Amino acid sequence: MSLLSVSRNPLKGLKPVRIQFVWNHAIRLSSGTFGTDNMDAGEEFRQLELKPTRTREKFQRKKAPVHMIMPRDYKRANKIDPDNVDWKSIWPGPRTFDPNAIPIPVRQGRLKPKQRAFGKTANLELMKIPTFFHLTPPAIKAHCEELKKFCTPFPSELDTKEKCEKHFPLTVITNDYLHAAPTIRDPLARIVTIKLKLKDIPLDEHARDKLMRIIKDRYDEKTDTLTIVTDRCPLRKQNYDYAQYLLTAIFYESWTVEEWEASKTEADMEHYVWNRNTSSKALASILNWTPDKLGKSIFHDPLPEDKLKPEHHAYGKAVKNIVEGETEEGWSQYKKAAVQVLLRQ
Amino acid sequence: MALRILHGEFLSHHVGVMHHLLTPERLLSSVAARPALSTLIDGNISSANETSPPKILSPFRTGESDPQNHSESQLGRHYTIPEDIKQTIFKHGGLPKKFDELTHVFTETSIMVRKPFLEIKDYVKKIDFNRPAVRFVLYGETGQGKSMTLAHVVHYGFNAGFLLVHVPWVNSFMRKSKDISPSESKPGMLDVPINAAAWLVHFRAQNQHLLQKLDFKTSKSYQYGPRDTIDAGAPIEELIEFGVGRAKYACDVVEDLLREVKSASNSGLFKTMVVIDGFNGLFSPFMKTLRMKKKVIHQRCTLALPFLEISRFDWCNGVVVLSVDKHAHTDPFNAESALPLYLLGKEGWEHLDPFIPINVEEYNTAETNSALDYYIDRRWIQHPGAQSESGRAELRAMCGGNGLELLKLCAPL
Amino acid sequence: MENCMLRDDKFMDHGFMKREPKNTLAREHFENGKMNSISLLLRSNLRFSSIHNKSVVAYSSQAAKENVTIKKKKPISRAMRAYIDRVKQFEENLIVESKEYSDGKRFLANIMGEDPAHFTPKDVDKSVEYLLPSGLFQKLARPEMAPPEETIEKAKFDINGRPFHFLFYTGASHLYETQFETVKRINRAEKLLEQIHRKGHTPEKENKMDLVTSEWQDISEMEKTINESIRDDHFEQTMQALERLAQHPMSGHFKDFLMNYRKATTVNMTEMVFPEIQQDPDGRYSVQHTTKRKTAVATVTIRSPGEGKFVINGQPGLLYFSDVGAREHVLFPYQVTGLMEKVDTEVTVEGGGFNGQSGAIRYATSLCLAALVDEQGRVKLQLAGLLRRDPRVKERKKFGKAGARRGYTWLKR
Repeated sequence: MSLLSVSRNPLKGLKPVRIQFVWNHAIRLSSGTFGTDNMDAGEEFRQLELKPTRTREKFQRKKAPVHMIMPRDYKRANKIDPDNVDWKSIWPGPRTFDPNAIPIPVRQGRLKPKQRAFGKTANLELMKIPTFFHLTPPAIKAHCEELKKFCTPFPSELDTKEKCEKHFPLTVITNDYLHAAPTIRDPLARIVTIKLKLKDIPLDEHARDKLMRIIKDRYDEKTDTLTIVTDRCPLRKQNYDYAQYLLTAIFYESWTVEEWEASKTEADMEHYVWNRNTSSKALASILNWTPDKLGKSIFHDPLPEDKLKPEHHAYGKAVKNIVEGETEEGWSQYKKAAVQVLLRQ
Repeated sequence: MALRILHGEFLSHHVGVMHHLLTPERLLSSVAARPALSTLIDGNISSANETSPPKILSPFRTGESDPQNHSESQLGRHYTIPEDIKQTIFKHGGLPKKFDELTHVFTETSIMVRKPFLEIKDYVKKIDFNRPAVRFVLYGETGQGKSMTLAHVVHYGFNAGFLLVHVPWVNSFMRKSKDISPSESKPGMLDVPINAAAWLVHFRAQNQHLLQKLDFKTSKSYQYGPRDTIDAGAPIEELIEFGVGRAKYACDVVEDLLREVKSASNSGLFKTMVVIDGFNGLFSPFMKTLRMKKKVIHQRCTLALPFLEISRFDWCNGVVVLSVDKHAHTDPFNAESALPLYLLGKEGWEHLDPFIPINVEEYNTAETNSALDYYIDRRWIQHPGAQSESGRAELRAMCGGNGLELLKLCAPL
Repeated sequence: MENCMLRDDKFMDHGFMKREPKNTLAREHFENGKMNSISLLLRSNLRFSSIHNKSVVAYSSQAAKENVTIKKKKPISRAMRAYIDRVKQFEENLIVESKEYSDGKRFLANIMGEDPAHFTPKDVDKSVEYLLPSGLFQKLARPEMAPPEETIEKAKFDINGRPFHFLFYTGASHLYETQFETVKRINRAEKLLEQIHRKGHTPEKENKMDLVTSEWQDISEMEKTINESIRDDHFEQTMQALERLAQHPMSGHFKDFLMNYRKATTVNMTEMVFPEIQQDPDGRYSVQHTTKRKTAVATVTIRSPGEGKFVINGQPGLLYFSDVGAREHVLFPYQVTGLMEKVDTEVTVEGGGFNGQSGAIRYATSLCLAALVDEQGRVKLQLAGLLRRDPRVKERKKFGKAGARRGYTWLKR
């Protein structure tokens, strides 16, 4: 008897709740006789409720049936024979992890450290990883086998490093990148580095000095190597051409002598020459000094070459040593030379 | 020589403190060596007190208080500056601040005789005073004794009868000047009147006795203000007195005074010794910390000019002893090297070259031992652990031969 | 309970049989990767059982069935029934998972081009890492493929609902078992002692266990040993009991038992490898070694005999370290071995701060000196804790914190 039918009854004034209550009470009283099949074995004895307590059944939402939308090839992995599988043809290219296509019980992710990790199905963490299933060692081997026919053997004449360097003085370095990502391009692949030993290009003293000023820190003194890195163009070929252009340009630029180069001052010089500097003038002034020259410190004339004594040369050498890089030894040398020059012996 | 010192050191602390470490033979030998201590007494002291019983000095000390007589035999030993001389030459500065405080604790002013001083002394003896002034530049790491050597040199110059031109610390006016005002005589430059007047007082105090004896007069008349004139032929004290009294003109007075000093010693009236500590400070930008705690970099300070002028070689009868210091550098906390060329910079190098560089090295073992003995003697070290041989070895290694570091390490002991 | 017994057969007919389709559904779910929820369910009643290397024999589902049919009349509570269900389900899952694992392993071996017969779990891990290279920092968070026996927990109850462990209901079964075993041994030890006393002897020293060479495990190590989490007060109780046994004059008889809860303090010196001694062209002996501490790496070369010179990164003396503590760090091994001022040291150190650097130098120096000194000196070095690398490193900064632990300053809004 449903509540709806009750409401249609002629007994209109009665509230439906009341009726329900009565009905419940009746069932409760009679449960001892015909309600046994509802009871479980371990349930307690019936109780006689003289003043029945009203219990409202908890409203429970019906659980919606789970409609899992399975992919078309659901459980494809079951069809794979683990002992005899041609994996290269099943998984030829890069793809996201697919729990149904890969027959391994891999797990990932925990809520607590001691818990077991989650299974592979619908596991987002597993899908985030760029997989290498298409690049297994046998697959790589097969790729290499395929590529082998396009390769040529290394020239047998270039058997030593010296010969290589002699015939190919210019080294070009580029990088290719292999990804698990869907794209085969990498912006870093455009960068071109060229290396060259300066002994391989003809330079005189002036040209070498000028080249040094142009290339600055691109030159490594230890290995005598010039390194040019170009990355400003979007394509590798453009960068390579640009590097070639730069090399050509700096070479010819270093050989040209401009007019303004004649007006180089002492500060612009690449080497310290003692006889051109104030140090030698000061020494000359001290040697030529007389008490009447009070207040005239430097006379602007270095000593002529023929008047220079060995101790003056030693002093000049010591000064050069210090100016080009001072050390404790340099200073003790300078001290010896200065004592020779300044004091009575 | 070093052996002798070591031997002395051995006697001093082993006999006194380290009985338990000594083997019986060693102890016997040290007792046997005890009478030999009398030989360690300095010659002239014993000759002076021939009648009284010879006073036994500890081997880390020397009774020779005149730096003119210091020689290799006193190397590594402490000599005491007589109190009256100290009051004359170091009353207005000249000793490092930390050391000056200690002199009150120690109730004496003792300086260790070290190699750099003896070198300078020997070189000064070799100077031909008819030739241009020779410059010496002391260099070395902070705390290794540059300023102490300079103090020793000042004492030497005082005793040897030099007129002293002594700047205790350049950056006292180049960095932390008391007062600052635009210069009237040199437009665009800045005066430090109080510092200049203070320096004049220092100069007067150091050279009072010489100025009284010498016939040192102004060579020309000086006009500072409308009513402030110094006539030609006036005693030089008058010029100094004027500068001290009228601080406004003190910077100009310093310049004129040093010019007078230069020409007078050039003419052979006296010999001059110029001692400037932290000389490279003169080539760093002149700074003044204002009340707003902002650093303002100005042009050159007028007080720097006379000291630059007197450190040139264009005069004779003069010795110039300078020091370059990391602390006087433009950027004192980031100074990379303690070597002169780096600290002086190009300008300073061209100003000074050629000069005689003198390296103030760290203490050697004998010198460290001497310093430790001195501290134990002055009760600066009281901890028994620090007086034991192992404690001394630890201190020797910990200080790395740096005198200032040793002083700091010993302070809590 | 009477009632329950009466209704038992009903349960067999309805409850258990009715659930069969449910079970298949669960299996379906499990196969779809929903094992987690089921294993969670299981975990509510199943706990670890392999403890103290005692493996509990897992019962088969067949036995369970038999049990149920034989003891039909026996009362079984509803909870127990649910438990039995879950156990059954668990058994089935285990079989399925094991097959999946072995299949997967063979599959992996084949696609990686390896021999499936010799493909170890280690190889499985390697190939999973190769195929699914996760960038996650936590190793636990990365993909894994482990045999199900390792990861799935085993039952703690038998089919009658009785726990396997006799102290299960204490809540800390293995800890109490340890206490129980300890007290049992204490009583035994008392008896042994009594026997000796009765004979009129006193126990020999050999009867007591050597407690110097080993020390007690700490709480975290103890937790690993007994495979159970321990409360602090429980740990203290247990330790008291263990300590009492260890201090007993007859504790040597129970060494094997006690060593389960102790760890060795001293590393076996004969097993330690010290750097090689080489002879330099100048006739001196030199030892070189490189060590790390925090992020600092130090290479120390010690030459013997020497004068106690130090060169650190080309700088003479110990003043490379402005920190006094760091200098003391470096000196400590020399003081321990008594080689102060007897060897020369050259150091190259980079990375880290002054503490890390001095620590790295100290460790390298200790190892070098250990190579130079005799056995006694090595023991001294070891007792000073110098022959062990300091494993401590900087704790990482946490988000929401100012540093590793420090909170941000609280501001009243």
